[in-house]
Amino acid sequence: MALSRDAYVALRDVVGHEFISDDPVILDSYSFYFLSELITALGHGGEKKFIPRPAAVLLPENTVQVQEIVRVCNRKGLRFHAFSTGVVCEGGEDRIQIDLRRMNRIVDIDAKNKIAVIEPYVSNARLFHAAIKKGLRAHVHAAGANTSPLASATSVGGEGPDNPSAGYSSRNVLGVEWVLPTGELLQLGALGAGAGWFCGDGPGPSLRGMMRGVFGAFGGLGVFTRVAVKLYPWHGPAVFKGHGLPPTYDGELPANMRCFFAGFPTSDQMYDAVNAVWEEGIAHTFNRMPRSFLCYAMSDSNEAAWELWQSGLLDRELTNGISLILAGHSPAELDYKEKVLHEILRRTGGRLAETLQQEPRLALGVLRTSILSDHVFRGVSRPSGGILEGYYLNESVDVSRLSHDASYAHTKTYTDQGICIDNGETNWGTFSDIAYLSEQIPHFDPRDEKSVQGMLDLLATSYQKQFETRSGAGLFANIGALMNDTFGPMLSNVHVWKKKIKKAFDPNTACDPMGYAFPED
Amino acid sequence: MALEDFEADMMRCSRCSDCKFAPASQLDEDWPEICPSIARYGFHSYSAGGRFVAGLSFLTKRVGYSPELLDVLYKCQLCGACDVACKKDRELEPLEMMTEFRAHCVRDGQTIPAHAKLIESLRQNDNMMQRPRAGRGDWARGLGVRTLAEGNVEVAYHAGCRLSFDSAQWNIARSAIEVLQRAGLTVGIAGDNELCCGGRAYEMGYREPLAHYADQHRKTLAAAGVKTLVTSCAHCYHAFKILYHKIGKPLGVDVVHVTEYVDRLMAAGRLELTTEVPMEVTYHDPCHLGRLAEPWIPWEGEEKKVMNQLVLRDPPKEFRRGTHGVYRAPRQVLERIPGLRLTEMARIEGYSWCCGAGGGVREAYPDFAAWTARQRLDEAAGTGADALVTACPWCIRSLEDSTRQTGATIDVYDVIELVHKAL
Ligand SMILES: Cc1cc2nc3c(=O)[nH]c(=O)nc-3n(C[C@H](O)[C@H](O)[C@H](O)COP(=O)(O)OP(=O)(O)OC[C@H]3O[C@@H](n4cnc5c(N)ncnc54)[C@H](O)[C@@H]3O)c2cc1C
Ligand code: SF4
Ligand code: SF4
Repeated sequence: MALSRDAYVALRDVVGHEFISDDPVILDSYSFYFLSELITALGHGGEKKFIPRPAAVLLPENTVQVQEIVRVCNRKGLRFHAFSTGVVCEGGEDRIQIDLRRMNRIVDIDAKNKIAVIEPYVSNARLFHAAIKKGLRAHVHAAGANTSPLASATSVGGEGPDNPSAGYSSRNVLGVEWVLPTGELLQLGALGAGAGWFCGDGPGPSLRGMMRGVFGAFGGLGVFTRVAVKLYPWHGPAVFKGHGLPPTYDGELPANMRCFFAGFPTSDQMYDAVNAVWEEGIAHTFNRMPRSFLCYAMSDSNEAAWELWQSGLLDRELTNGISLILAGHSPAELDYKEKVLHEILRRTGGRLAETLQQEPRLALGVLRTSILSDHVFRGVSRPSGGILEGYYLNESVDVSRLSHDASYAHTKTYTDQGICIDNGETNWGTFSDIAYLSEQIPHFDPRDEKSVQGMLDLLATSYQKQFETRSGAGLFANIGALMNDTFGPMLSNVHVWKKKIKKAFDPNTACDPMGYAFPED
Repeated sequence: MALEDFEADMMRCSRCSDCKFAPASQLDEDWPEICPSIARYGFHSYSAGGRFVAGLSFLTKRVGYSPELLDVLYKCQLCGACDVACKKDRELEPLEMMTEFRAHCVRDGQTIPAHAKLIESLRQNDNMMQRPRAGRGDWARGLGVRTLAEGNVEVAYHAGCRLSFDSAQWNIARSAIEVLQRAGLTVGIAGDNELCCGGRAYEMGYREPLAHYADQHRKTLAAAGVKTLVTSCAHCYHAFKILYHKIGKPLGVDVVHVTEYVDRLMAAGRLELTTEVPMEVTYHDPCHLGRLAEPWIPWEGEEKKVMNQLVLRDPPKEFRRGTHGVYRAPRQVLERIPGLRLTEMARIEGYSWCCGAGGGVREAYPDFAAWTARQRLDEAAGTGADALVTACPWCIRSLEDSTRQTGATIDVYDVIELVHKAL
C-alpha cells in the first residue's frame, strides 16, 4: 500500500529527502532476504524470493530522528519495523522499514570497566578490531562478520563458538537505549538511573526479560538505538590482521592460543567429552562440527570442499568431531588447559586428528570464524544457497544426545529425496553459561522449488517430532506472531505473555507485530 | 552472457552485507567500507547485493525501466571491491551481473544522457574525452619517439585517451617514454593515430566499441610487428588484457602496465635508480590495475550438483577472486626508489577504495566521483604521507580534482613520475 502524501511528507521532514524512499526499485531490496522464499512459500504474501513490499524505507541518523519517525507512525496509523544490518530485514506491505545503517558509531570503549557502547550498524568485525586495541573482545554471534552485535544483544539469537568464554548475547547486554513503540525513550539498567552503562539490571529498570528473553522480539517491540555490551580479555595482539591475498588471507594463530581437532568412535563418547570440557571450563571457543561444515570452511571453493570430502580424510579423523581453541594468560595456563584436554580425550576415548592438527591455516580459520564470525557464509550460503534450522535446542547435553540421532534419522527421509545436502551427519553445537546449543542445519537450494517445498515440510514435521519426543523446540517455534498459537501452548503459554507485553508497550500496534506477537485482544 | 544467466546468483545472494565491507580479517575500524555506492547513497539497492535484488525484480517484471533503476545501476564505479569481498566466501558473480545489466539497458535504448553524448563523440573521434582526433599525439612532441608506422620498435607505448588529451598529465606519458628509453629500448607510439581501447565505453554498457577497437588495435600492432604493448593507463591495460580476452579478441601481444615493465627492467638490472627522492608516500591501487587486472579465465559449462544439493560446475570453474591482481609490481618499484618510504593505507589491494572515476561515474555523476575521491584523500592523509602515488591517469585526475575542490593538501603523483625523478 502506498503511503499517503501527507504521511510521506511528515516522514521526509524528519530524515530529509535523501534518506527516505518509496520507489519500488529501492523497496524491493528490502523485500528480499535470506530465507524470504520460505516465508512466501508459507503463504504469508509476496512471491518467490520477495516478501510484500514495504511502503517506504527510511535511513535515520540518530535516536531523536528514530523517535520522531515512531511518533509519526503512531499519529498517522502506520506500522514500522526497524533492523540493523538487515540480513533479516522482515517487514511487509503497509509497513515502513527503518534501516539503521547511518547509526554506525562506536560510542565508547571503556577498557577499565570492560564495556563497549555501540550503535546498531557497528559490525562484529568492526567492534572486534576496535576492542582488541585495548586488549579486549566482545562476544561474537555466528551470523557473519558484518552483522550487528547490537541486534544480537537486544533483538535476536546470540550464540556463537565463543559462547564458552564470552557467553550468550542475552547475558552480555548491559545498558540499553530503547525507543519504545510509542516513541518514548527508555533507558535500561544503570543507564536509567543516570549511573552509566555498566549494568543491565539496575539501579534503574531491568526489563531484559521482556526486551528479548532468550530469542528476542525480532523488531516487534520498538527500536534499540544504543547498547552497552560486556568485554572480555583478548589473549592476542592489539592488531590481528592477515597478510597475503584474497580469498583467504594468511596469518598466524596468536602465541598463547592453540587449536585442537578431535574425533570420537561414538556420538555418546563425544557428548561425554563435551560435558567434561564444559565442566572444566577450559574452552575459549568450542564447535561440535559436522565434517561437511569443516570442508566448506577450510576450502576456498565448493570444488575444493568436494575434493576434500571425497578424500575421506575427515571421515578418518573427525567422525563425531569437535574443534576447540584454548587460550591462556600465560604459557603455563595454556599448558595446563592442554593437559586437561588430553586427559578428557583419554578418558572419553577421543583421538586428536593427526593430519588436521598439522594445518596452521585451518587453526587460523577456526579462530577467525569463532571470534570474528569470518567465513561463516562459506558454510552457510556457498554450498547450495540456503540453510535452515530443523531440530534446535538449548538444553542439557543429555537432551542433545537424544536429539542427535533422532534429528539425523528425520533429515534422512528428506536427503533420500534429494531435498537437502546429504552429509551423513547433522547438528552443529556449542555451549554457553545457559545451556548446550544444538542445531540441525540442512542445506537447500532457494532456487529449486522442490528443495524449498521439502524444507518447509521438514520444518513442520521436525518441530512436531521435537515436541512429541521432548527433544527440543524448533528455533522458529517461538519466533514470530504466526507461530504463537501453534506452538505457544507447548511452550508454557509464552505467547499469552508476549501478547500482554505487546499490548502494554505498543497500544497502537504501531510496531510491526509479525516478528513477535499481536497484542492481547 | 545475458542478464538471465545470473538468475541463480540473484536467488542465492544472502543479503549478508559482506560486499559492503573490507574482509573481516583485514578490516580497519576507521575505514571499514569498501563500496563507494552504498557508502554514499545508503539504501541497500546501492550495493552489489541490492543490485542482485534489482536484477531479480527486473527479470520477474516486478519493476521495469525507470530513472530510479538507472540511478541504482549507474551510481556505481564497477570498481569490483564488492566482487572480491563476496567471492571470499561464495561463488556468485556480482560484478559480471552489474556489467551485464548495463549492457541490457543500452541494448534496450535505456541510456544515461551524459554517457550517450560521450559515446556519440567516441564514434566520431575515437576518444573518450570529447575532443577532436587531431592533436592526440601532441604530448610526445620533442621526445624523438618513433611512430608504429615507422616500424622497428621493441616496445609499443599506448598513452590512452586521458593522458593524450589531459595536458596537465603529459608529464606522466613523457616520463614513461624517457624511463623506457633510459633502459635502452626503442619505443614506438601510434601518435595522432592512436585509438581508444573501448574499455570505459564497455563499462557504461556499450559493447560494440570494445570489439571494434580490439580489431583495430590487433591490426595496427601486427602490422608494426609489435610483441610488447606497454601502457600507463590502468583502464587501457584492463581492456587490452582482460576485456579483449573476455570477448574472444585477444591482442596477441604481451600487454604490460608500465609499472610491471619497469619492475621487470629493474629486476633484470637494465634500469637503475640513483637519485634520492626523499618522500613518504602511500600507494593507491587503481581498481583496473589491482583486483580487476586478474587475468580473464574463460569458462563455459553448466551447474551440476553432488550430495543432492552441493553446487559444482561442469567443467570446474575457477572464479576470479582478486588473488592475481597487479599489487606487487608498483610497490616493488616504489620500494626501489632511493630515499622514498612507502606507508600503506587501511584499504589496499583486493579491498582498495576506488578513486571515484570508474564505471562512467565521473562523466555522469561528478559530485559522487569527487566525494569518493575525497574519502580516499582523507584516508591517505591519515597515514601521514606527503603524497599519494598511483598508476592510472583517471585516478590522478579524479584525486587531483578533488584536492582542488576540497582544499586537501596531499600531493598526487604517478609512480612513473617518481621513477623519473630518481633516474
Ligand atoms: C544465515 C544466518 C545465520 C545466522 N546464524 C546465527 C548464529 O549462528 N547465531 C545467532 O545468534 N544468530 C544467527 N542468525 C540470526 C542473527 O542473529 C541475526 O540475523 C543477526 O545477528 C542480527 O544481526 P543483523 O544486523 O543482521 O540484524 P538484522 O537482520 O538487522 O535484524 C534481525 C532482527 O532483529 C531485529 N532488530 C535488529 N536490530 C534492531 C534494532 N536496532 N531495534 C529493533 N529491532 C532490531 C530486526 O527487526 C530483525 O527482526 C543467523 C541469521 C542468518 C540469516
Ligand atoms: S552480493 Fe554477495 S556479499 Fe553482497 S549481500 Fe549478496 S551474497 Fe552477500
Ligand atoms: S563495483 Fe564498486 S561501487 Fe559498484 S557496487 Fe561494487 S564496490 Fe560498490
